[in-house]
Amino acid sequence: MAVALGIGAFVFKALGLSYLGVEVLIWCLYAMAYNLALGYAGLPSFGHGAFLGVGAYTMAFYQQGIVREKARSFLVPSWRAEDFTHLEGGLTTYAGDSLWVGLLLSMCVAAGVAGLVALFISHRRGIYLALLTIAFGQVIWFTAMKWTDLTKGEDGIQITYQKISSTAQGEPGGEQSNQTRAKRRINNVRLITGSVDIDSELGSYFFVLGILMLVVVAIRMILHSPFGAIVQAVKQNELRSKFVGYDVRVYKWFSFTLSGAFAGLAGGLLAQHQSGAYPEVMSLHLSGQIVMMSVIGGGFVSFWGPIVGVFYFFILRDVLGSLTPTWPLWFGLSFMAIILFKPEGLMGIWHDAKGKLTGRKPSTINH
Amino acid sequence: MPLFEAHNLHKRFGDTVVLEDITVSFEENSVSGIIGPNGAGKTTCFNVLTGHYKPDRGRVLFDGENITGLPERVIARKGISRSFQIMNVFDDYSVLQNVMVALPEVRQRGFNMFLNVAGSSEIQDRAWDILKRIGLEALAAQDAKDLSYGNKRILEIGIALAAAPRLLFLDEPTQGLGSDQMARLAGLIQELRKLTTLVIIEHDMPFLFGLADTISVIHWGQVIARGTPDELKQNKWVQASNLGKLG
Repeated sequence: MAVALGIGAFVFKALGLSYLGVEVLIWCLYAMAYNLALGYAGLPSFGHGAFLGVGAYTMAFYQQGIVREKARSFLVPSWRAEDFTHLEGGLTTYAGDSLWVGLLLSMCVAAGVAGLVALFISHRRGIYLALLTIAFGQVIWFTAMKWTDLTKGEDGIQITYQKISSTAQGEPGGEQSNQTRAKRRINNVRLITGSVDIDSELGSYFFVLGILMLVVVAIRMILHSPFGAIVQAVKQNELRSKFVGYDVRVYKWFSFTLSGAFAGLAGGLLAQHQSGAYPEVMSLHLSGQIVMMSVIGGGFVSFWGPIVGVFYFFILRDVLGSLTPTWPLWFGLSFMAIILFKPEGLMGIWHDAKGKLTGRKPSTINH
Repeated sequence: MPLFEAHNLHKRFGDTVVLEDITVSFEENSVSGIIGPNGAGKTTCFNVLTGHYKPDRGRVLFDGENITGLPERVIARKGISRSFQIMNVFDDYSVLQNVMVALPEVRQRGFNMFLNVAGSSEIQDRAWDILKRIGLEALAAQDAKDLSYGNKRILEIGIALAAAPRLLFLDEPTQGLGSDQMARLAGLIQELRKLTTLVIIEHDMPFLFGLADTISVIHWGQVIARGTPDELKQNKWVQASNLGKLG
């Protein structure tokens, strides 16, 4: 899968679709995060876009220096604020901004919000859980739309772009340093071996791919750990799990929070990629889309199912969409067909086909 | 002192009194039976004893400690395990995984994200131990949902056993089993009694009378008789009630 996605970089580039390529990868990450809740913990969330959005806004605020401003106003008592005015400019544009910090913040804030939501849903099941996630998703989306002082409402937060040369950072005073004070977008990432220019097409693709791979490895590790085994057991049989001695609420709470955290990470990357955070991703419509992608791909039976679903969606949207404006109809119909005839999704079909070819019974083990 | 005692349990659902006044006690390393006709309150009694329902009155003591009204998981962690009358296994897990997830070794590491369950020889060995004990090692890789009825019942007991209980409750283990499967189950219970204390709810009298050290007869929500199988065979209540024929 990693190799396929690596080659994908050049396919996207050859097609002149590098921007789309990165977007697809971010959605892959989001779908993997989502399936942790849906496929593995059995928590059908219809408001997961909220966590993607929270991650995106966190990243945008961070890059605009809003996080630092708020932190300062919180830490510095108002009667001493005057002493700090000389830092005003410097504080909004501190040159040490790192994408890593932004991503970490996105993850933590999204985890915090998801953890809060999970407190209310971890003892619910089925339809009640689904309805509550919709409600919370809508509340957070509505907050983003209406809290215009902070979020700029429907316009969203743009991360204005301004490249800063390294010499400009070094020189004190003058026009150069004014430039460093302009709000700007982080354009490279420091790695141990050097730095990656994430404004270049391949640079950003491989950076996001790297993050995606890290998350995939992390999720795989979690699923194979005792925690993963227990979470899947709770999904299959809550009563039995209780009698084996598990506090099912705590496990459900934690898996939802984890899922939210990874979704927030995807959101942070999305804000970086789109140079801004917009409320649209939090809408019920887009929250539903991630559910459809996960289910169509086969998130219930396969680890890679959600990624397959994401590719299915984007291929349909962009290939079929270029032929006919009615593509959402066909996407919807194919979703219905899968739910009716093969709820295990595309990966389920693939498993069956492979089983027929090799004459073996397809495994239903969920990893 | 008995390992497990329940005093004067009373439980009602709405206007229906299901348990009138139940007092039972189970000695360590023994097999105890609870018997009674359908609708006598056996399963409700079980659910109260294992913490699934809270009794309206009465006390439950385990190893001298009052566990009345504690949640299931807390009682389970103290070392009381149970099987279910309605089969209750992890359907999508393999037989091996079913047993594995119930092991205390897994439970104690519940939030360890770095350990690979399938790669931990300690966990694997323990799970295989249990499978050998219940005689399902040949089916280890099979999904639980594909097991035969009899094997599912055995796995049900295996999950309860995996939790390394000090006291193991079995709820109508023979339900729906044929005679050769019952013989197999009886053999398994003889094995289990070497490991732990057992309490079995049954309505099949010959089965229980062949296994249990002491038996309590429950009828109309009360314990109407208590004693060894031989004593009970002489009991007029047992003879008079339509509990089944004693071969």
